[in-house]
Amino acid sequence: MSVQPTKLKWVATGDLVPAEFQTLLPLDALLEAEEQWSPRRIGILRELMRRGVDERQWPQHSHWNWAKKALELRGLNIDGPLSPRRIMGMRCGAEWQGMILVTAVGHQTRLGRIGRPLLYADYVESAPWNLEIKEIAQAPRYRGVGWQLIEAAVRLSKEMEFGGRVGLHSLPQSESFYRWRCGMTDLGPDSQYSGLRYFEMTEEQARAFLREDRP
Amino acid sequence: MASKRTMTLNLTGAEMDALELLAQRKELTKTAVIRQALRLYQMIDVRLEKGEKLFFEDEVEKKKAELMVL
Repeated sequence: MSVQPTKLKWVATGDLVPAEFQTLLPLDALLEAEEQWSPRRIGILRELMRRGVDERQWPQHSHWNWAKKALELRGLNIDGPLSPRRIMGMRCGAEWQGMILVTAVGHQTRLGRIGRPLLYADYVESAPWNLEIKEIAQAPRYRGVGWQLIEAAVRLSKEMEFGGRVGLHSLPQSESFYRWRCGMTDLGPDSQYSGLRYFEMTEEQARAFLREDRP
Repeated sequence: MASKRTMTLNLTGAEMDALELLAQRKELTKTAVIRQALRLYQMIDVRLEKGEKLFFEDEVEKKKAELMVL
């Protein structure tokens, strides 16, 4: 496991607080994240239901469960140095603030010259307390988690000599983040993937992304 | 990044041609092709060890074939 210091913006005060980025995480980190996140997820759902908020306004990844993902990945040597799948995460204090699961094989570029390898982001999630949910007046605790998770994927892609190329399928609520904040190209709905829109970051877009100031 | 060690690789002309072609097509260095191949081989090996099977599927032709890996 590799640990790199970083910072996150604490929204309540605007201060930058020390955090750490961890790569090559073991499956236990997923279990720990789920243990920490699920009470708040349930709290959010309870509040949304209590206020009668239209289900279309609920966080679309409310059903995600990192413990289930840990079970699916069991026995695949995920924290080995050659593992094609990797878990990376951000921690601030004792709490996980975000997780990303990426895959380095089996996905190819659909932009530019077709068929070159890229790093595919299977799942990206910020801790539930970092979501802004206006319907229940929840302000995010920390800002910049999602951006730093994508940054880690871009850097890993470069380390693997994929030029920073990253691909992912986005939930509708996250599309604007990938399109505008990350500068990825929207290749439209993918009928092979539940109709979710596929986004790809080219080498040029990766260079521009890494030049941007941190939020 | 992990420390690296150097080795000499003896390949036949055909093997080197295949490596160079892959490197060109995938826009990778030859070392990166070998690293990618190792990741893929290791992933397949771990999954086969777990009792899973590897298939190639052609959705248009409706064909599915199991790939036997040594």
